Order: sequence, then C-alpha cells, then structure tokens
Amino acid sequence: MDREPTILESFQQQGMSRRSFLKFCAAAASLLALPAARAAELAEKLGAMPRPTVIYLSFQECTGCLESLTRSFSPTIEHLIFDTISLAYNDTLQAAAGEAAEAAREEAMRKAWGKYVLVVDGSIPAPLDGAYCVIGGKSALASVQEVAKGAAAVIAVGTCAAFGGLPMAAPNPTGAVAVQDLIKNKPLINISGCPPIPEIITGTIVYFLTFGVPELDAHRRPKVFYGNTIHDRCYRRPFYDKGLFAKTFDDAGARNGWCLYELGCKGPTTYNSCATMKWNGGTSFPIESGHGCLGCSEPQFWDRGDFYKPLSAGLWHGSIGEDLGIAAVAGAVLGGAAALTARHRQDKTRTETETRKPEGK
Amino acid sequence: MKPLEIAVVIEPRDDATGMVAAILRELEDALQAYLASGTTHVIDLATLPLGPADRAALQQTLGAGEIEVRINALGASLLRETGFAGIWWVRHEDVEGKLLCELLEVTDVPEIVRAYRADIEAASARLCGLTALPN
Amino acid sequence: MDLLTLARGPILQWALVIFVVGTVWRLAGILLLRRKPDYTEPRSTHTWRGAANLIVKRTVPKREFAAQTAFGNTIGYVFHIGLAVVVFGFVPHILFIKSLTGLSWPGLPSGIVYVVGALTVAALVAALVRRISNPVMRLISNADDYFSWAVTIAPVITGLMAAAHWGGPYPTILAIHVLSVCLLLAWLPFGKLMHAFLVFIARGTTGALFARKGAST
Repeated sequence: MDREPTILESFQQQGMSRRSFLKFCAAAASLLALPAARAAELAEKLGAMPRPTVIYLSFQECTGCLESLTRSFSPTIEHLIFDTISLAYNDTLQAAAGEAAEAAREEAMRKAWGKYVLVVDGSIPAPLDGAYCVIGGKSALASVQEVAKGAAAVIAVGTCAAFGGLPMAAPNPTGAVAVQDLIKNKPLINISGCPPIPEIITGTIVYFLTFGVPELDAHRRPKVFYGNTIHDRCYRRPFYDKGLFAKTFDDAGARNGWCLYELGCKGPTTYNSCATMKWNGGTSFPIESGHGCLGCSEPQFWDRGDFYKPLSAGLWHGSIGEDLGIAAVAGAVLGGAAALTARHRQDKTRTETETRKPEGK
Repeated sequence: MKPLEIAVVIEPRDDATGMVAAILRELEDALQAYLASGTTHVIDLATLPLGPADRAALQQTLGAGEIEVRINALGASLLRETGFAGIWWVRHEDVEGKLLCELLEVTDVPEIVRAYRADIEAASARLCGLTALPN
Repeated sequence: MDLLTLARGPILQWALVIFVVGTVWRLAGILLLRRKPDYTEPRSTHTWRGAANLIVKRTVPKREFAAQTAFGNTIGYVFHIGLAVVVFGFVPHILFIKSLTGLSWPGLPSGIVYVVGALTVAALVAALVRRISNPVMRLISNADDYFSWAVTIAPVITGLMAAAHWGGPYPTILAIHVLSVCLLLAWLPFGKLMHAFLVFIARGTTGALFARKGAST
C-alpha cells in the first residue's frame, strides 16, 4: 500500500471494529455537543482521513497532563489517540530513547512536513537561549521553534503550556513563557487546566482533525469546553443565590452542600467544564468533593491571591490596617494645617480691621 | 467516635421541566423530514436538562417497539426501537459499563447496526481462505 | 498581573488610602476651624441632645412641604436605602468588609439584592432626569453633581452586569466593578459625596445651635 492508511483502517488494524469506531464517534460528538448533521459528518470525515502525525513535546511540566490524557474515556479509546494517530514522538510513552528517539522525530517531521500536529505540554524557559531546560543537548526553546516550523497547528495542553502555569509563578525563576508567547504564526489551540479534563484533550484533537480549529475564546480555548464558568454550571449554585454559604470545611453548611464562595471558591472567574463533564469517568469534581475551585484553567491562577480567600476580599499588600492608620494621620495633619491656615488668615484680617478702625474714625 | 449531630439534607429535584413536549415536537419534525427527504436526525439526551420525572415521562410516551439490538463493541450498546417506527432509543456504554452517550436516533436502521461493504468484502476473503484450505 | 488581581490588590488599596486621607483631612479641617464666640446666655445646655434630635428629625420631610417634595424625597429615599442594602446586605460585599475590618454579619439572599440594585438604578436615573428637567435644579447643579452621580451609579450598574453575566467575561466585568468602586472611594471625600459624613456635622451643628437658642425645630 503506497498511501498512508486512513484513521478507520488503522483503527481496524488495531483489532477494533468499525462499530467501535462509530461508537467512539458518537461519544465524541456528544462530548463536543455537535449538532445532528455534524455528528454524522464526524464519523464519515474522521474515518476517511489519512492517519495524521502527532509530535508531543514535553518541557517544564509534571507529566500530570499526560497522566490525565492516557486515562481519557475508557482504556481502549486512548488507542485512538496514541496508536491510531501515529504518535511520532513522546519521550514518556515511546519505547525508543536517546538518539533513536530524536532520529524518529526528525524522520516523522521530514515525512509529514507542513502537515503534522504539534502538541506541547509544559512551559518553556526563554532567557539565556533557553539554558534552563535542555533535552538531548537541545534547549526546549530551540526544539519548540524548530518543530513548530513544520507543524500544521499547535495544541498547547495544560495550563503550563497554555499560560505558563506553575513554572511561571512569581518570581518565575527560569523566565518561563507559554507556547503562544513563542509561536505566533501557526494556528494554536490552548487546552488549559492543571491538568485539563482528559475528554477535553481527546475531544479537541478529534474536532481539530475533522473540522479544523474550533471556535476559540479570548485565551484561545475551545468555546465548547471553556464557554461557561464553573459557577454558572455548579450544582451548588442555588445555595449561592439563596445566600447559604459554608463558613468552614466542616460546619453544617459544608455538610449540607452549601456554596463554597466564602471558603475561597474561584468558580465564578474560572472557565472550564468540570461541573458538567466531571472527573475520573464522571465520578465528581472538586466542588462536589467539598473543596472550592482553585481556578487552575485560568492564566496566573497561582498568583491570584489566597486560594482560601473569598473572591470579593481585597488582596492587601502588607498591612492594610497600618496603611490606613498612616493615611488617617496624614489626613489629620493636612486637615490641621488647613484649619491653622484658616485661623491664621482670620487673625490677620481681624488685626488688619482693628488697626484700620481708628484711621476710619 | 461521636456521631455527627448534623443530618445531611438532600432535596431531590424531581419536577417536570416541560422538556418532553419540546423533544416530542423535534421528533415529529424529524420524522416528517425523514419521510420527505430521507434525512436522519439525532437528539443527544445528555445536552438536555432532563430530570428523572422528564425521563420517565419520555420513556412512557415513546413506549417500546419490537426490536432490541445489543452490540458488543468497545463495551455494550443497547438500541431499542420505540413504539414509533423510525425512532430509536440508543445507549452506548464503555467497557466499564459507564454511559458514554444516550441518543434518540430518527432513521430506519441505525448506522451502527449495518454491516459495511468493505467489512463484508474482508469477511468474504477470509471465508474463501477457509474453504480453500485442504482438508 | 491580570486586571482583576490588579483591581482587587494595589488599586483598591490605594483607593482606600486616598479615601481615608481625604476624609480625615476634610473632617479635621472643618472641625478644627475656630468657632465664632457666642456671648448670649444659653436657653438650654442640652446642645448634644439638640444635635442628635435634629439629625433624626431632618430625615423626615416636613408635613407642610410633604406634597411638594414627595417625588424628590421618594427617589432619594429609594436609592439611599437601596445603596445601603446592596452594600451591606450582599454576601460578597460583607466578605469584602470582613477582609478589611474583620467585622461580618448575615447577608441577604442574592435575588433580593439584585431586585434592590435594579430599583436603585431606576431611582438614580429618575434623580438625574429630575435634575436636568427641573429648571431650578438645573441652575444650581454643577459638574460635581453630575460626576458624583456617575461615580455613584457606576458600581451599581457594573455590579448588576457582573451578576447577570452581561457585557463581557465575568472576570473582566467584576474587575471593572471593583475599579468603579475604587473611583467612588477616591472621589468621595473631594466632592459633594462628602455629604455622607458632613450631613451629620451640618445638621448636628444646626441642632446644637437651635437647642442653645431654644428654637423650635
């Protein structure tokens, strides 16, 4: 066979049936909330498409995103992502190591130049020519720029790759930056979260392969998954509206499932699908387990003040009491000076009128 | 250990939302479209806020038809014809029995049931190979 | 730093500092002024009671003028009480005050606060219409009045927008809401909004004077 096998053919080569594929497509269409016509199109287009090449580069990251991804859907569906779509390079999952692995990547890049998908996991330290992160004698900075050159599109998986994440947290010792700060001339999709919901990673890749870049929000995240805040879709939302809040993690309110706003939940400012898609195969999500949202899918979530401070509380630098005390003293001094000036002026006018009086008589 | 003094109150939300009427209307249109032009249609139940009462009402209204298809591919799937010919209630589960998606399909036979030509060709080749074997 | 973190952090902190400096400055400046000596014999020495008395009494419209001033009084009452309910009744606001002072109290259901907020906006708009359409009001109004009106209504409108998720992403609208509050805090001591404090001093002074003279109030 001269041509690359199609996705469906390689799916079948893995020993899975066409029906399994159709079922996967139905699940993916449901996940992506595709309208009926597009759902049918998904199976048709994805099945007939030549197997795409994916290069997965990991930089400053903890491998949590990959852990999340390899648990996406059921154990068999990950085959679609990793076996069916020709994963040419992933230093964690591939059998080859060292120079053989690098050679495989270069070969895959050469063969699919201009067509492969680059998935990046982790942030990239920019200063000193990227000296803070070097893999196989090559800096992360040089690698990502080189591989991105021949990519059809770039998908940044996880908050580190999408927004800089934890490596970028103050004081950002390595000068870490997000993928979108380095790659400006390619279609780029951010899939944020720490880690992202596995179904979102799979769903976005499937959507991208079939229909291209999905509709994105201001942070370049797919709107279908990042269109609503956690708060908007939270099952505890009625308690927020009623004004019923847990005050500690173990009071009557907490046990009765009241809103966690007062305990610092960042649900209102966090765009993600946790409240609807949930985690661990739909078991629950952090708020359902009794802890507020940390806002992990938002830029700089690590530096947005205390995780346990309510969203409406002030983020004071130093002591606000001290600052306002000084302000009050400063105000009193200014007011005192103003009053003194006024008194002085009154005195002057009085002496002037008093000295003028006899002359007038 | 001291028992908890606080009783957890869970208020079940079980009032009908009026969603069923909307679904029936959509199915009505979809059946007419299928009869007119052969266009199939899918309603994804996961995208609709159905409470237990809605679900029961929908099931009761649609009723049960004559066919039940059980598919074993990547876990179990159950396709049931409803009391209305051309409307199928489809449930896909993964290998662990977790629900992947639940659909109402409007078509004569759901796509996933059919055997494809390419698969039949492969089967034919395999069978030829079997019969060609020397006994 | 993103806009919301900036607004909730350094900008809010500076706005509070300006608010306190300005308020104490103006209060001290007025209270430390020399008073004119009054050589008359006092009719009564209960001047503090007279002051407190007038502060309360002047909040109720005089019966003789009630009919004429009904419209202005009503909208005035609606938005002043409305602002108090929204500021001190909404749980996120109470949590803000708690983060500043350590004080807290039970809040109202959000739904009630939203309705009161909407009524407040309506009353403030009516107040502006009255200010523009009434020739006398228009004549005695200056830029301070209009600007003070704008910085008062801005936090209410942006707050309602944030609650309704209208006009943009929630974090952005919330940041704009916090910034509008910062503007209100920073402006309050320097314009006519200072009446929030001075109303008590002005009425109290008059009340004390009336008591001393034995004037009927």
